[in-house]
Amino acid sequence: MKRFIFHVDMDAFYASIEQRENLRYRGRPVIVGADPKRGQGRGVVAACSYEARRFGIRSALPISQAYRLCPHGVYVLPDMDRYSQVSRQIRGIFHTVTTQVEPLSIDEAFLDVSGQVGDSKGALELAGQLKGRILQEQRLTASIGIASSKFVAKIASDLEKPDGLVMVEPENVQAFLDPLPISRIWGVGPKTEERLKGIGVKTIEQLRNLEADLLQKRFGKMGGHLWQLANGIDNRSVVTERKATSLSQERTFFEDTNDEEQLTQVIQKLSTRIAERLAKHGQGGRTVTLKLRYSDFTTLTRQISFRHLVCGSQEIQEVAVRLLDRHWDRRRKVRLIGISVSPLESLTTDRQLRLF
Amino acid sequence: MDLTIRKEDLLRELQYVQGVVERKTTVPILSNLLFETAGNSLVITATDLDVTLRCGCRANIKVSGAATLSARKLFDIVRLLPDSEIHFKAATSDWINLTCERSRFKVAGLSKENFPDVPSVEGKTVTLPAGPLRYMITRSIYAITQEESRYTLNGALLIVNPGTITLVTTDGHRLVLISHNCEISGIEGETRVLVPKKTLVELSKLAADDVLTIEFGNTENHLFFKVGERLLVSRILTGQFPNYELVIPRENHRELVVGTLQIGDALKRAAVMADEQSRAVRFNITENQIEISAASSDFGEAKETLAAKYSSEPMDIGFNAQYLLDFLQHADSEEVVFSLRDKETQGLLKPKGLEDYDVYYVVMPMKI
Repeated sequence: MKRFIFHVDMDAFYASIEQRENLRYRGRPVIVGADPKRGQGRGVVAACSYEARRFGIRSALPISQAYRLCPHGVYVLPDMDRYSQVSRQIRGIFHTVTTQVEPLSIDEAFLDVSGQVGDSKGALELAGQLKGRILQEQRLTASIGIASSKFVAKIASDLEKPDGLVMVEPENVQAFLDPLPISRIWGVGPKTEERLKGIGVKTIEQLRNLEADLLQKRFGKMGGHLWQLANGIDNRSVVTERKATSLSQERTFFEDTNDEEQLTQVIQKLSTRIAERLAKHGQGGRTVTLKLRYSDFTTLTRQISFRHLVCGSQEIQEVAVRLLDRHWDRRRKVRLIGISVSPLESLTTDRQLRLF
Repeated sequence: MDLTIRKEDLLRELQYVQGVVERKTTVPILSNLLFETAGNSLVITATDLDVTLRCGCRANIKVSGAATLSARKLFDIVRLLPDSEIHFKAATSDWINLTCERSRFKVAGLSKENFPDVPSVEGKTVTLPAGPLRYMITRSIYAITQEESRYTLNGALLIVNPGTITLVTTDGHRLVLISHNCEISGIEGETRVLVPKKTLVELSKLAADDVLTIEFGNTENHLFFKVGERLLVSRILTGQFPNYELVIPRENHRELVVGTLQIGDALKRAAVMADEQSRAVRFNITENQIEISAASSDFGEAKETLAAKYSSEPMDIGFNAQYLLDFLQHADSEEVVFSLRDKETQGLLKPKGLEDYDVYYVVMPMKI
């Protein structure tokens, strides 16, 4: 059976939701992220509309820099609850198409529709219908890539954004991949890209023409994987239930701080939020990790593990405060603090009953 | 500083203070001991900021002074020296020259100015009997939580009133309450304090065989124990210790009496096949008999049958084998009594016929 995989990627998801809900944002550069405070703000751009991208703004850019590029933009604080709600509704639409849905993040997912369509024509039609429903029900646009593998589908969805629909037939995969820069490969970050460029590899074609053995030798297991991808080989299937392995919460301060009380208060808030989410899923974890990022961006993570499952806010907070107390270099100001609980397990697996 | 001291005197005190010094510390000075001369004694202080121990021993002091030296290095040196006089002499800056017969050491020190102050703990004290205190610590310390997250459980609740001393320890799954009736002089009303685990360890060392009594007092934030020249000062653990009286079951009417050794041996064997993570074993209790079984999905299963006195309705209940073994090892009686209700209610275990001490061991079952 031929495989047909969709990669559905919502276009400028957060910004598009803001634009659809606020008439006066439409057609204007909308930047969702931290408060820019007239260029003095801390934090980064979470998402931005296509109008904003014309100013050179992109996600993960420091908000202060975004403000310099586009001082007249509409700056909006993220409303994650709202975005998650919309994301769930869209996921609902996916599930009317197929049960084989693998959400990758809040705004993208893989759908395996091999059971629904028989040929390329059918796949294109179904993708068109899906886009139509998302637009009709949510007034949002999505870009869809169709291919016989997840890897190629993901690249394809990005090619004609926004509102794109790109299908790569199996016989065209190599011609499609060859001219693309290696950075398009899922898993090639700036570091790997640099190392590959160091051996003269810039395009997927150049990567494909290397010996698989050589790649494996230089880059280890990942090298072999990259070579396969470059050759269009990707047999990974759509995983419908990816189990979350940890739950974390973090906070970036508007101003770096070494105020112990402030840090402790934030720990309390983060712990409460984690505990609430754990309680919702009836889960706990045996390891509590504290993450500290100092002003100079050096990051420290320290953890304590337990025999029992940790799930209560009080307990999470106590551990995090102990870790802070023990490992924080008080001379240094903290930029970000985070707490995580992992690996997640259902509380019902903990058979030991408790006295209190 | 210029003094001589007998090796055995110094070594004895170094052994006491060694436990207080943390091996891994981020503050270098805390790896060191503070040495100060006072009259004709050498006073040695060790601290980890929470627990401080100050000892003293006789020395022949020519020039008074103070120094700090690595606790670990000094201990390693002194225990290997011949049984003779050791001579300490301050050299330039913070170095100390140490000689003993034909051995000569030059030991690097840190400025004593950076050594933390010992909290001042003057005040009224009460006299506790050393032997019973040591017994109670060793019979309860094992149930203190290993898990640092449960901060308030990281020690024992010590309750002293004119007629009894009580220690309570717990890790949230099981609880030990041990009390001893004796007349405590110098106390009015009741004192309740949370004693950190490390303090208990050091206290039980101080309450060695030849010690009869310990002076105990507390200030707002600290507790202190005095044994002769030695002074142990500890931060009081803060927080709310759980209401232990509520968890001691009063209506467990199914009583099981069994030989301590017999059930201990059976449990150890069965536990070999228990799941390594949970250590779960299952009890099937019928008239005058217990069957203990354990099963591991990877390795197989075990069954042990042993005689016991039991005449109530048959029942099944699961326990962490280690929790039961911890209690049995410290029971000091030929038989133990299990008082149970059902498979979800905490069991109460007591040594049978133990004189002098009242021991309650409360343990929560495991789901089976």
